[in-house]
Amino acid sequence: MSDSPTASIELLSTKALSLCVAGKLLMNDLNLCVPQGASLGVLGPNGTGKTSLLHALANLQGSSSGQIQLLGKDLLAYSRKELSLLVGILMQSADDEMPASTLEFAMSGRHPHLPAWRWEGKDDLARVSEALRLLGIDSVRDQDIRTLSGGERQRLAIATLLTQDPRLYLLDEPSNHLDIALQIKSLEILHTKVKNESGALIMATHDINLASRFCDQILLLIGDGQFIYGDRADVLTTENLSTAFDCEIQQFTKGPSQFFFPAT
Amino acid sequence: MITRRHLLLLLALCGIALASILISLASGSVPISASDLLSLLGKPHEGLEQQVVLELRMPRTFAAFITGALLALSGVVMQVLLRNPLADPYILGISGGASVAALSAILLGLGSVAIANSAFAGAILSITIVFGLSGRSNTSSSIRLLLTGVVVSAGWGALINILLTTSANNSVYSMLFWLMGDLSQSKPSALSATVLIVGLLILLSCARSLNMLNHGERHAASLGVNVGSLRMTLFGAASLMTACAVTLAGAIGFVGLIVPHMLRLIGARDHRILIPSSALLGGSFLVLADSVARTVIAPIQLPVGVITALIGVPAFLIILRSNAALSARRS
Repeated sequence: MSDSPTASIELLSTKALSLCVAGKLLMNDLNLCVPQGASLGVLGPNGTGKTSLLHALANLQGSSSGQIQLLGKDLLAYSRKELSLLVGILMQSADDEMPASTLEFAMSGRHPHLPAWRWEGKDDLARVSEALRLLGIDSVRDQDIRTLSGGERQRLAIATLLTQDPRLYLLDEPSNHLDIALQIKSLEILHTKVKNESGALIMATHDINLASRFCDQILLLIGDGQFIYGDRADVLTTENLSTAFDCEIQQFTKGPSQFFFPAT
Repeated sequence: MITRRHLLLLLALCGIALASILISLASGSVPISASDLLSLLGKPHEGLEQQVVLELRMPRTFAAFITGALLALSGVVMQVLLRNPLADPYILGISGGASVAALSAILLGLGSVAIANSAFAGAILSITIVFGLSGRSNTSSSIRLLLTGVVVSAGWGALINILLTTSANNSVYSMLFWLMGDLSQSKPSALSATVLIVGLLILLSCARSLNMLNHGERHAASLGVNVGSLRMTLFGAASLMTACAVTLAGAIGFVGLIVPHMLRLIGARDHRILIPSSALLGGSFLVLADSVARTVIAPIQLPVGVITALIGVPAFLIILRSNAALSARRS
């Protein structure tokens, strides 16, 4: 079921967005419309620009042409600080050369909310503790982040995003390093938050079934600037997926759910 | 979150700073006992001892403290900006430019004021060259800046060697002292004190942003840090602080590299604590090292740069080892 555009305000939209990285055209004339409460899944083969799109939407990387609007206002018209209160991003990888504890790292999510000279208070600590507890990593709160396991590190990144508390969550491969139960649990936490607080979620993933389970809209990148964008049911078909991935994809239906897997 | 441990650390470092200054004032070729020192500082009376303390040791002690604090602060900033634990204040070639200019002044037989002024000019020239050559692009600029700095340093190194090999023996001696870092001619200037205080305030005002930058430029940018302008501010502040330190005392090694790491190892990872702690510990460390340099084989004075390494190396290794043992026991 998709929300009708007239019933809710668009949180994010793009107009004729084109992305070009290192001379390669990644997507051409993209017109996204992500209403409040919606989830968009970005699928596609390696190197088709999933990460570049998320970085462009967070203004971490300039778009080649076109416009990105957040709550009806041009993305470039926001200051870095204003933007960080509205948009949070889960990166694909972390740069952890310098020491920090789990708690200290998660506290960095409160940075946008505090004036320059203010220290984090009890309220911030409560939010961080709650996020660590939700993701099940409060037992490693004093451990150095460089000694965390891959799954703990990924959950810490998600917890940090929760403490940042933005409206738009950009997730780059949120299921990375997580076991199957934690994949569902962490996405359920984010999904529920987005629905309840009329935010939105955009996730780039290689897991078609995860996208099928959590997303209302799908952007399927094919390469050479081409894509298919629309409601989940319209985009997630064996025909579209087989074309995009250049690999025969089969479909399996159980109850209301659709599952996709490569042909044997 | 500021914890009691952080406050205790700052308090302890203030105590160490005060103690190191008193030790430095008391030690030297005319030893002065602690009680004499206090009465001497308290009320004015004529005498050789007071003259020694106020006119010789006091300026030198404060010059040492300011230099150490400047170097440690610059080291903290360079390590975060270049995201490289081996970064020190001189990594971008600032000391090389200053050294070539200072050595040229020594070669020309100029006085200590002229040597200091040309060192400062050389430092600024080197900063201009490095930043001019490495350009202003944002992405991967850290690595390009680092490479430019290292290569420019190598160029300065070659010039230093030419100056050393072609100069007369007596000027080579002063050149070597300058290169190893020496406080015997140093007097604290109003400029260096101002740079220290202003630099400290600038760094403190962006201390929490530095915590964000610690985990990568993208992470910082996504949390609202304006990375481009922050980098410019920090590079500017760190370069100026290093230039002042080099002007005061020559190229004293080790303080800027080791002091920030020592503090991080004992738990001062938050820059709001690390920055003031580095200033205090860097200052105290250099004051103590200079006291040793003046007294250990008196009346001969060693260049202080030798002592910073001789004390710093074992101290750092002990902390590193006890830290490794601690984390091994925890896990």
